[in-house]
Amino acid sequence: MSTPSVEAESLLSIEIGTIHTRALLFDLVDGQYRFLGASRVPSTYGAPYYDISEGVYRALKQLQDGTARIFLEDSRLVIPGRADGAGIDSLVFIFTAGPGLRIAVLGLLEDVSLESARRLAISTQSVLVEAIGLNDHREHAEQVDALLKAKPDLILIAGGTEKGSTRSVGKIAELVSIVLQLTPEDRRPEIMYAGNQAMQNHVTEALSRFGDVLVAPNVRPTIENEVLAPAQEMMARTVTRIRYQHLGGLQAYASITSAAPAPSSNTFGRMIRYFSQINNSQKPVLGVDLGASYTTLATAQQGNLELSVHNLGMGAGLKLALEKSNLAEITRWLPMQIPDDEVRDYLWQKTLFPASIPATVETLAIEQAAARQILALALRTHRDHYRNPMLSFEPVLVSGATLAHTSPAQTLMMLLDGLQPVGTTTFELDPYGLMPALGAAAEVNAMLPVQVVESNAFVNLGTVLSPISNARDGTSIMNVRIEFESGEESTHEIRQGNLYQLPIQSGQAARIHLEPLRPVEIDPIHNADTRSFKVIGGICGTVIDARGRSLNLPADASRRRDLLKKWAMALGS
Amino acid sequence: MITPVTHLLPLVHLRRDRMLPIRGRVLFNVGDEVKATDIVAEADQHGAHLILDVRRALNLRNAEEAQKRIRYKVGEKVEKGDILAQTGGIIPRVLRAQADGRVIGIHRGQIILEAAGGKLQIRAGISGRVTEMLPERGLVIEGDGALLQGVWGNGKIASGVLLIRGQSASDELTRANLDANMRGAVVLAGHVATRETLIAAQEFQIGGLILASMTASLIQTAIEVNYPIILMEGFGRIPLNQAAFNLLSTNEKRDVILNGFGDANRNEKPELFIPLPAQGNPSQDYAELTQGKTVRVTVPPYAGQSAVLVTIRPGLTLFANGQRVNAADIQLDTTQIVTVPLVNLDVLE
Repeated sequence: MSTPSVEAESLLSIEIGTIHTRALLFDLVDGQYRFLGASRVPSTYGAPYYDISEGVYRALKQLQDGTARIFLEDSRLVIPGRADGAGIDSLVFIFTAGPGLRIAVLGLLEDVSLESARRLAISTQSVLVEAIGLNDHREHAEQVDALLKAKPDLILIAGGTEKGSTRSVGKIAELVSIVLQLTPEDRRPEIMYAGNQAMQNHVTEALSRFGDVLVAPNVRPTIENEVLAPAQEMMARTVTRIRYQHLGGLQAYASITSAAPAPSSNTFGRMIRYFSQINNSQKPVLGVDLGASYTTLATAQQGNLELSVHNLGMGAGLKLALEKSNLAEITRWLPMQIPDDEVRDYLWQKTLFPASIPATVETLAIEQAAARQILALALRTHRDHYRNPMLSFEPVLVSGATLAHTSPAQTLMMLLDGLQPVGTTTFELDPYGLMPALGAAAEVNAMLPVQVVESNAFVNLGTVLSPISNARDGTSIMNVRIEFESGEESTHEIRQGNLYQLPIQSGQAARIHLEPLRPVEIDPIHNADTRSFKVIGGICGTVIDARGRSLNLPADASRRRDLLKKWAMALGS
Repeated sequence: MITPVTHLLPLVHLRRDRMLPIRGRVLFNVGDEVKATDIVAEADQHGAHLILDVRRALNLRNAEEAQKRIRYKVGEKVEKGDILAQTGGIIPRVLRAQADGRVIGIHRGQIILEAAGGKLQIRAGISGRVTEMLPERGLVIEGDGALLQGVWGNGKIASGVLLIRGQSASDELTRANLDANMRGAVVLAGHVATRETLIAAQEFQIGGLILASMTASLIQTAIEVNYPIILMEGFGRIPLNQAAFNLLSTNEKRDVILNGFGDANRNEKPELFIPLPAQGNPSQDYAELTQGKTVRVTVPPYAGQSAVLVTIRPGLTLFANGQRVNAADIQLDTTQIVTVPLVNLDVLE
């Protein structure tokens, strides 16, 4: 890893994705950092290359051709940049490619340290293959067998509050020691300890003869307090170490990057944390990255980040989505009749060709229906893991090809149906998938992400107000008065069960005044601005979603499809 | 645009690694001829473990004393009933092995016994000659023949004589089409839509199934049957592309090897290999999408149809569903010219 240059200007981010390798270029324009261009080519970490380098080379070549700047000389990346403008000053690497890491978590109490260890595990692309706590009543030998059979890439040990139990942590270390002793040297998992700091030396001594023990601050210093952030950073570094074995060529690039390569989910979370720090809202920021193999969800409030990565997505991730869902949970979102077999076959076919694009109205509808279900599943799991009942966010930042490469109205509909937020929410789309790259860049150049975010790199889809009322469908629940800056006004009647696009143009400022006609919860966060607030129109204007929560779709298929079409038309999609 | 290639090659020189995930034994040497179904490497898998606490069993005061009473060393084999540790005295207390196995660890007065486990075996997957050998790890096999890659496989390997059902490989295979004469044969057919057909094929002991497509609801059954299945096109009712059908037709009655392992995420495809007594050339795994290339449409509409790339359209093309993407005009086998997104094509060669 090279030392970051304080005078660094241009920055190149390389993202090794499951399907594509992308190169993103950032540089100073008139003294401000801007996103200047991107390239995208098939990833080559799999057959026949089994090395990321070929894909990286092609991505750089394509970026070079697209931007008319020189990055390569004799097929090598020019770094640092030269006075003649060739090359780049800083390089960062992020990745989503590779199978979910097999993680075994060991802790003491099920709903204390083991729960924190689980949260730490889901903050990266992972499959939880084993969990052992004090309440595990299997014989010692059975636990050893279970851990050996699980073949973890990483054993994560938590347990013991500060000044708390040491004996039980010692027993866990002994169990892991036996497992490591029985595992061939070249197959031994990484070990990370994030428990009682008083036991740090004991655990390290017991296990270090089998390899490095990575020590992070205690994730559960007291019963009541959970501190995940430092351990999440350590987890990201551990994941990178493991990925060096999975992604051929990645380790070689680490010597020329300005920061260690990092999982995209980690840098995405870093950006959501940043947004929560600059956001004065009493609500958490929600970030959603809907990928091909994984969906990352991040909620953050005042810098406290809750991060989860789900093996759900619009490519290989459809497999788990189909396994975890009744097909009806997907087909209920279809605005036209398509036989179940056809839907199932199409989605499984998509797992085989994850880069494919829906080319018909029907296949687009199938993918968008699946996206709604994936968003719902991921958010439900995220809330369960963090025991966070909050469904009100400000803003919601989204990225991912399925959300970015369609009409803004369809994107907003997918988000409203899948996430079903309550209260007032602004939806921002990251159409170029910049957030993970910006999160990685932040480690090298703190100004760059700030200025790029301010440069309209994101698209404001619109502000959506989702009031809750017990009124029957069709009943008037409130009037909305819009006061434009020009002094003009318009009033709109809002009926339960409907969706409305208010006539506020993109970028236009207006003041909204709400006059409830029946008992209505306008926003769970009650403050002085709840009934009268300023909005800036998004690309979908400003939307009132009075369909209720949770959304109840008619059981009758014909009525349901008519309703879906009506809602879609309300947003002009 | 560079895109992965799906191979449909009448003659190719093929090179395949066969590696164990753990250390084990390689059963062939450089220069040996192997058949596709030969087991070329194997490793011992972990058996169940028993942790025997000598101190507690013999009622000793501490771990150090227990350590002294242990009569076996790490690595030694034991049989059920063997005395592992024993106290002194006229009536000694003993700790006996509860199962056949091996002492794999002695740790603070505890004996860790591993019972005999199963074997992990790797098959050759192709017929040919061993050209490289990595001790304890695996080997490289090279051979010549026809190679066809599919899109999904059920993870099993077998070989047999190729039989073709139907004239176009687009018809549905049903139980009624199967009979006892197919025992051991690899059957090429169009589509399977029922579980009953897959089960019947197992009952008739067929050697394997090459299908154009299968209903996705049968995936679990397809994984459970004892013979390999390879889908050439995928899920749904997709006919076999004409290029693949033509190539397979010319090889009917020849031995064909099905290797149903694949991982779409790593671009690893299930494949079928037909050994031929001729020298082929190595294949290219990526190709540029250019005019005149033979391509296949991977998803609806036109899924499974092979075509010739006529032109790549400049800029982005607007499709009826509102998607604006890079697209190409392709000429289907029916001579109809249609426009499809570039990413929905793969190159057949």
